[in-house]
Formats: sequence, structure tokens, C-alpha cells
Amino acid sequence: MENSSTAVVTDERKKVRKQVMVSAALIALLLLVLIPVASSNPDGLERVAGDLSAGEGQPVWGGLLPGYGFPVGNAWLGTFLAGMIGVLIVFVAMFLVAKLIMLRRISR
Amino acid sequence: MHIPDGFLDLSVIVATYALAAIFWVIASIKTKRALGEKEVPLLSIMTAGVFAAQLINFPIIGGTSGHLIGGTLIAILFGPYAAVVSMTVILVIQAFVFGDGGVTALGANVFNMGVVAVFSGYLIYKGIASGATKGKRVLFASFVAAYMSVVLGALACGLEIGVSSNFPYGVNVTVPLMVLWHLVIGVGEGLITLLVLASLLRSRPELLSSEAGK
Repeated sequence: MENSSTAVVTDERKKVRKQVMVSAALIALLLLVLIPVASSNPDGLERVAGDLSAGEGQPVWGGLLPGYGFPVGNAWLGTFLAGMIGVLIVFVAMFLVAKLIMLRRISR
Repeated sequence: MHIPDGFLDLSVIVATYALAAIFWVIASIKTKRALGEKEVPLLSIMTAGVFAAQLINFPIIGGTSGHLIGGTLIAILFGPYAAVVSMTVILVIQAFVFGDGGVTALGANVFNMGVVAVFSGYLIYKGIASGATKGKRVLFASFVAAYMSVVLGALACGLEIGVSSNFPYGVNVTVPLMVLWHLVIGVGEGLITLLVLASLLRSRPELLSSEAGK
């Protein structure tokens, strides 16, 4: 009984792990294909600010990899690497934040 | 729609940080109750996917571009409270790691894209889908909800920069301009949300029925 329930959990885990891996591969593929064709035009807010000559001023904090550029000498590769680093950080951060939120439930 | 440093007045910064914080606390408490343990990896990869999608600007008319916000998509799949947490994680990392969106404007950006866009999108989706978990009605609902979430997020953004004296124009100028551009950009949000949802539903038709209670 205990063995079979453990097996079910493991199966479920494997399935979820596979879904996550497939999704991660899909994200990487989409970034590879779409980064070169992405528009570099200003977005809605940047356009409005530009039209109204509103200066952005000095950022209070510029970020570790400003403008999603990883300094590798090639803009496309740099954006891809920065993007994938971001994907990894966001995944881990979301996972940890969710686990932390859930932890309080379990401990109560 | 990421507001940079320098556009908002201190009063707006404080107010939006406070609002965002209140919603974040409520959302984390609700997420604790509503989110299943096995949903955590899927929510995490979906959040990472939305982050990646936000990198890709699509061109619209007149030399302007837009990109996905993704709040409605996550809210439809995991519920609005998990979506608030998810959007906050994305926006915090964008601001601190990539310098996208000012650190002083983080509260406003979380409020616009993580609260206004998420809840408006979710409520509009629920209203139109009215219990449907598959088929054309769901896809239509997702398009309209995602579209409107961008327009309403832009409206909030326009209000915040418009009432700030650091921004050279008032709400009478900023709100119409922000809304007008995002009436076009929203089409992209609607289409991407619809397409992602359609492909997820094709591989997992039961996806939304298990989320019915959220």
C-alpha cells in the first residue's frame, strides 16, 4: 500500500518534471527564433513619454544586466543569454516564493 | 508599460507601493490556501515563460511596439492570487536584475500589471466564460479579458504619471494617449493569450476544469 502510493507520487513527479523540461526547451526555442525578429521600437509608454518629451532621468538602480544585454560582443547572443539567465532566475525565484508561501500552511 | 525612475512623484510612489504591498499580502495568503503543491513547478515554468515572452516586442502601427504582460493568462490558469505573486516575481527581477522598470516605480508597476491587469483580466474572463472550461467561448473570453487587462493597466499607468508633477503633462493628456496606444497593443496580448491557452487546452483538455474553484 505504502509502496504503491509512493510509486504514484514518483510518477506524478516524473510527469511534472517532464512538463517543466519540455516547457523550458520550448521557451529557449522561442527566444532563439523570436529575438532576431523582435521589434526594437519603443513600447506604448516609451512612445507616449517620447512624444511628450518626458526625460527618463537617471535610474536609481541600473540593474546587473541592463537592457537584457549579456556582454558577449553579439547583440542577439547577448540577449538570448540574458533572457535564459532571466528565465532560470524567474523559475527558481517563483518556485522558492511559492514553496515559502506553502511552508507556512504546512507548519501551521 | 514598465514605468522608469523619475516619472512618479514621491506621493504616488508611496501610495502605489502601499497598494501593491496590501494586494501582495492578501494574494500570498490566498495563494497559500488555493494553490496545490503539484502546481508549483508548473506555475514556476509558466512564470518563467511569461518573463521570456515579455522580452519579445511585437511591432504595432506607427513605429511603436508592445509586448505581452501575461497576467490574464496566468490568472486564467492558476487563479488571480497566484497571478499577483507571479507577476510580482517577474517585475521585481526585471527591475533589480535587468533595470527594466524603475526601482522607485516598482510599486506602481506591480499595481498596474500585477493587480489591475490580473484582476480585471480574471473578472472579465470569468464573466464571459461563465463556467465554460473549453471550446470557443473560453478562447473568446481569454482574448477579450487579456485585451481589456492591457487597456486598464495602461489607464492606471496613465493616471499615475499624469498626476505626478515630475511628468510634464497631466492626466488629460497621459490617460488618452496611454489608452489609445494600448487599444492597439492589447490585440497582441489577446492573441498571444488565446493561442497559448488553445495549445495548452489541446494537450490537456481538462486543464481549466480543475481550476474551476479558483
